[in-house]
Amino acid sequence: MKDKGFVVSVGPHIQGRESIPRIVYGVVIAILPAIIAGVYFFKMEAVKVIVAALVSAIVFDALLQKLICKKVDLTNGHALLMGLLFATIMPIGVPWWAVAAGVFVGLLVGEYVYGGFGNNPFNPVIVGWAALKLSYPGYLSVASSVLGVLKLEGISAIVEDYGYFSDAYGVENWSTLGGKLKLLGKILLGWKAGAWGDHLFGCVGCICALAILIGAAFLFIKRYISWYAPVGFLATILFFSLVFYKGDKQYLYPFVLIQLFSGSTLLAAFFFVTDFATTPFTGLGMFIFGVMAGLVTMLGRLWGKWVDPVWFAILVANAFTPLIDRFVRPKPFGRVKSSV
Amino acid sequence: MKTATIKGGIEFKVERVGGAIETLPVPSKVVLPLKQHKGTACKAVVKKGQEVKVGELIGDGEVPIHATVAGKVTEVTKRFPDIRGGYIPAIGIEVQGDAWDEDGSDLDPTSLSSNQALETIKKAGLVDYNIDAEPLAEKINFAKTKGVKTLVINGVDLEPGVGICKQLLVEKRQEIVGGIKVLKNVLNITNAYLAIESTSAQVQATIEGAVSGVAELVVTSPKYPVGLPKFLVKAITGKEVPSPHGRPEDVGVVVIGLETAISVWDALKTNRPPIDKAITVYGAVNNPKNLRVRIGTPLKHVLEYCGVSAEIGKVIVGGPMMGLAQYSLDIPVTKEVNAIFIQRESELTEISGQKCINCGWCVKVCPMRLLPHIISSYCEVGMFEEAESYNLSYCVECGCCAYVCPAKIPLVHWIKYGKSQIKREER
Repeated sequence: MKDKGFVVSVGPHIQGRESIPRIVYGVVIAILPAIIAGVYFFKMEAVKVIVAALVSAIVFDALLQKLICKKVDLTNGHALLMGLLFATIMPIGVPWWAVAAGVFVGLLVGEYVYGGFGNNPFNPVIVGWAALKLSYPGYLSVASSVLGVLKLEGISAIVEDYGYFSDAYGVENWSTLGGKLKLLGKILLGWKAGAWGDHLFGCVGCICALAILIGAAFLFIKRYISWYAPVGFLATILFFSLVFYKGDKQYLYPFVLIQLFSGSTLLAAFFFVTDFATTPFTGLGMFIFGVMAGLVTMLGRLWGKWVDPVWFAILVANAFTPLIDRFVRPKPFGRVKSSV
Repeated sequence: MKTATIKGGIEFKVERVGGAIETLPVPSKVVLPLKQHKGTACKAVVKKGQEVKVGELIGDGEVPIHATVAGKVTEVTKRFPDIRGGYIPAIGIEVQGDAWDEDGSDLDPTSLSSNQALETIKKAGLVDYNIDAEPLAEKINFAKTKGVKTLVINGVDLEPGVGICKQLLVEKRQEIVGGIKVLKNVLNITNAYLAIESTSAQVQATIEGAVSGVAELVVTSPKYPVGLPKFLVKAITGKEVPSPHGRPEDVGVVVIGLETAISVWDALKTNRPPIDKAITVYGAVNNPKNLRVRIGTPLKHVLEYCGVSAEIGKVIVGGPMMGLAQYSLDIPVTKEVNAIFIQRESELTEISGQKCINCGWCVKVCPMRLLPHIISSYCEVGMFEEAESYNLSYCVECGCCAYVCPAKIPLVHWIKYGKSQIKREER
């Protein structure tokens, strides 16, 4: 037994097993079901987008690390996650060069100008999306998705004119609880092509709600995300779609389903509203952040011009994160009002 | 019986070291530091070459030190390494015998008057056993002047893995009950709680039966750091000890350790000063054990008994979360030592160059409800005033934040650094 040469340091002398690479790979695993569902529904069209995003993310991440004189390190899985997340929010049909440009802008403007992973005020994936949305609005339009048709032609057009739920899902009536559950179950399995377009359209990772929920459940079990932000976000969307619904009463149920499960709502709720670097760190702050993002989303969907302003809403909420963190602070243990 | 828990903190999935408390054979030489408590060091009252008996007074001061073995004084030194990395005066004794002549008195300690009991406690040199080791007599006096109404006996092992209290609750039930009775008598209060960590229902029922009528049993959830007095008081009474410099006595509660209660009983019953200490030895040792060790036994002797492999990286006195890493194995077990935790070189903590990614996990676990990542970032860049505006001084250094940090930022290190710098600036 040696009796000198021991390491001396302050406590704690043990550390938890979780590390940043572990979390990043955890999120990569969680996003895989949505990616697989995307490939299942869109076949080659999805594969093209995914491959373009992945390759460009890895290449540009290495390039930018080199550029800011850091040691090039791709083992932390960060480039992988960036590529996969970027692919999930791209509508099919976006050309590969646009995907690559989006990834590049996202990494450069969204992340590396601030010093790299973890220091960014805005979600780099969404910054990349915003750059594409401004530059090539045509490619990123989701007007022919269910949400888009709902926005442009109204819920009664979807149900009556296109007979969407009876044709695609075989559900004619949802006035009973059984009918409601049947419709919900079928919609969770994936959105289908409607009579307004000749083939299925949507974003790569947003087509199957169940796949996203499976990934989210994984994140919850691993405790990588907490419930505050997703609950605040989804509750706000639910609240707005219930209270400000103006159409026929009998179409309220499908209307709410489309608001909650179509478009990017779920993906945003579990993968973007819960992002570490760009959201508040206290529970209440996260909840406020979620509500704020939900609010902007629903303002846009109900009264604005955008079909699906979820990503825009998150960018807006990101901007408020420092402010929320400044004012929402826990009360320290045992603080007494000073009597002086 | 009631249950109690705290917000924040960590639930470790670590088994506490079990097994009966074995008595460690006395080594050939012991070293008795003349300061084993919070306060000033004692004065040596023996000379080199003098023969001493077990229990003989060798250091006089506010908390007297007694010889824990019989033998010859081999050295009286001014500079001996202590567990905090400094130097303290100490007395070395070559062991010739270890028998303690019991004063087989039939005295009933509960019949003593408050002042008599307090006098004995003071003379025996009792401290509240933990890393702070507050003088017990002083603590009781302070509680009395504050008009404390509630006594909490802390039977929760603070650090993960330490099994001393758990084992004492099985082995020393009578002494515990006696100790609580005496302490209630001394403090002149009627309201007492015995806090233990939740274990099997059968054990809980036995303990509850044993202390019924003396103290109410409180079962805490197995969460670190519920064993810290502040959080124990909050969990049991719901009152928050004022921060940053408040004490449980300020809200009318005095918290005394379980082993301390036992030693109070021993001191009053048989006039026995604290000559041994129960400790848990665990981590990278061949046989993790609960041991009863003579105070003054060098760590080396303890570790040889438990068996350690060649590549020890860290020797920690106290436990993995709040313990103090040692550089020397000559350091003896004192009244401040509850556990010895050994780490291999491969198990040492790592520090990465990664910056904070704002995940908020430290905020979630902080039992003081602080914002550890912000405080530590300010300390790191030398902005101590700003760190203090985020309540730097409230931190109890429990280490939960640095434990969960996925970026492996040494948050407690920066916080301690900030505190020491502020202290220096004030001087």
